[in-house]
Amino acid sequence: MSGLAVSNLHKRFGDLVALDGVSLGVEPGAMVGFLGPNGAGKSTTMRSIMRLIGLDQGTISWNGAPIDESTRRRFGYMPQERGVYERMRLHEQIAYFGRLAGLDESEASTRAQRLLERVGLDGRRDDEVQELSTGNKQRVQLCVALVHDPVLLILDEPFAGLDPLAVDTLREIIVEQTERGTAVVFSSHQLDLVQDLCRHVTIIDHGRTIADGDVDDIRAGSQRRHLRVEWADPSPTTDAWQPMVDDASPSATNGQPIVVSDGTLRRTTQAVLDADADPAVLMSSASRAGRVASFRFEPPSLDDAFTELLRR
Amino acid sequence: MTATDPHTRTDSAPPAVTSAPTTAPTPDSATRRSGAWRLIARREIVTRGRSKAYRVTTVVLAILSLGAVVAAAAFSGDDDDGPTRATIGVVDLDDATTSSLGENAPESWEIEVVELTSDEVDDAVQNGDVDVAVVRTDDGDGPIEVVWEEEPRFLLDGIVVDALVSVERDARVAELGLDADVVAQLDAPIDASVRFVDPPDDSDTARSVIAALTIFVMFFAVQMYGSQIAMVVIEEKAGRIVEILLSLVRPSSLLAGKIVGIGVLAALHVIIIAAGLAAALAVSGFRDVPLSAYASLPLLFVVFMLAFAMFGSFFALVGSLVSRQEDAQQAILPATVPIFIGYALSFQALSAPDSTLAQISAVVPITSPFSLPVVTAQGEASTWLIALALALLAVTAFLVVSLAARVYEFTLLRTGTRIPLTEALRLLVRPPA
Repeated sequence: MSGLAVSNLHKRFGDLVALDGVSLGVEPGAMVGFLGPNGAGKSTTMRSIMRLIGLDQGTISWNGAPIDESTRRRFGYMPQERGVYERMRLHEQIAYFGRLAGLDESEASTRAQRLLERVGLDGRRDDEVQELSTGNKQRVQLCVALVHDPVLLILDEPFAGLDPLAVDTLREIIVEQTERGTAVVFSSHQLDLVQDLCRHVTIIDHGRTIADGDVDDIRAGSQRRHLRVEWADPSPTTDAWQPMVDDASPSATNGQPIVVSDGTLRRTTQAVLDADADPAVLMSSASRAGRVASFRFEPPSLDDAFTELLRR
Repeated sequence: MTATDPHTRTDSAPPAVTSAPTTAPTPDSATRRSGAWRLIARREIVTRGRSKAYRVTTVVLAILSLGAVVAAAAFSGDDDDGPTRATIGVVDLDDATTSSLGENAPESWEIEVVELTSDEVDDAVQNGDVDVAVVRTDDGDGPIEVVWEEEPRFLLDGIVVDALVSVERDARVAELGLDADVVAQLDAPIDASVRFVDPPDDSDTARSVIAALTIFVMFFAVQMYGSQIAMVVIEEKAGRIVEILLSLVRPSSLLAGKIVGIGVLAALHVIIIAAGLAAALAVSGFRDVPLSAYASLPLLFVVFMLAFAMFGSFFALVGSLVSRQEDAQQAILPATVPIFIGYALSFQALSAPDSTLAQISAVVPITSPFSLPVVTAQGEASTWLIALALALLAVTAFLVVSLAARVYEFTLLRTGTRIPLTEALRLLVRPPA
């Protein structure tokens, strides 16, 4: 296959099982969110793709061939936290890593300059990295990963600690890369952030891949549905609502009606129902209870879907 | 990566069907492989050399070296080969005595005789216009009086007395009508020679100065710049920069680049000191500085380079064992111990360069960087001793560098708690999977 194929990775550190069957794939021009809670094995997987650690078992290939030194040099890598020289100037630093990746001097310099312009830091090209804010440091790190125009981009928690605006800029740049044909894998433990950033995700837990596919499919695969109804008036009570839920979803053993109070009036109700609940029935029940201001019936968020996967 | 590299996958893979996007660079691997360490070295030289700390140290060393040259030149003024000068004032003296005062002095003296009046004598002596005055009292009729300010000037008083005595003696010989032969016999030189048990020798002083300074230079350069290697390794490890670096270059290139880069900066400082020292010796009044004393300076440089590779790679090794800047001081301690041992033993070589201990420590690789230049500067190192010491040092440096490169590869990517040195060395025997 073309692109990156990671299959069935296993790795132990002494007694600690770090990877216990991780698989992952990304095609050129695609972006995959690599998700999982802290300690799930995301960084270990990424470091093994960069051949920074050896494996006990499993295969990693690029375009069907094992990754050798020259292939690896065409990957761009951004480790979690820092990963740049604090006391080196921006342009100099980016060009330096470009040189290490095999660019000649003028090309490295040109690309560094172009990247600095792209991330909006060209005005600070001769500042030292230590003078930058967290978000700007992250941009420099990304430039370092991008300077040699990699075929594969491995980004370990690129969005951690960034404000929404910085997340947006970073995403834009990453998307641009995919449009040029770069395969991108980025990890995150903030699942809710990711569901808006990319369509394809691979979720791992305890060193094992537990879900892989389109974000919507993974959410839709959940056995729950989230229901949220808001009435304009009058306010229905829990007592009136519960039979309705039971009605709509006879097998709703997991139905957990939650009532949000607004002063003494109860205007809004949320419930988690089984996936087979019929939204049409619920909607008509809700209408009978009062004038409906809004009605939502949808699969759980990626975060909730993930929690559910873990419980299964 | 070598074939024994732990990361190398052995699974049989289908033939490479590489189809890189057209935008990807196609770097020339051959060029880079040989050049990665150079890029790394250059970065160290540029960024570190630009730092305020390095520039200040360079300026201070240059000033100290220049100062040493200036001081040596100034000091040599007293020791010059030029004549010693003295001025003698005379009052109412006859011509014979006056000319005797001017001409009786040894060749190394240049004596000026000035005529004074009796009124001027005290002031002239007091002011230093004359060093001494010789006065015929009572307007030329009385006895001779020699006038000093406070006390007679060393050697000059002998010259004055000799001059007076010889004139008086000639007069008496003539008065007595003595036979010339008799006088000649009286004046015949006595048969005696002079011998010094421990004659002062400028070359000894020069040798000691050079020897003491080589110890200082070696210690300063190895200790200071060696620990900088450890610091930069820790910095890269703590900042995870090493992960990016190792995805682009080999650990051995990284190590070589660091040692060469920081080594060049250190070497510049060693050259400044050594050049200053050599220049100071050249302009100083030291006569007969032996060639072997100068020869120890280039030797110092060669020894320094080998020692720096050896100690520097050990510093890199211990630096790679920790992941946090806070652990740096504790981490580099094991690397400083051999340096301190070598430093301490070199003082023994300074005081007794021909002793067995000094000779041994000049050969043993750990101590030889400090003792060999000292023993050589003192003129107590035979050619074979220098050759043997250099050969052993070169071999040891090579071994330590390759050993460090191997351990480095295993420890560099291990984060978390500090890795004990013994465990790191065990990795050599049993590499991790």
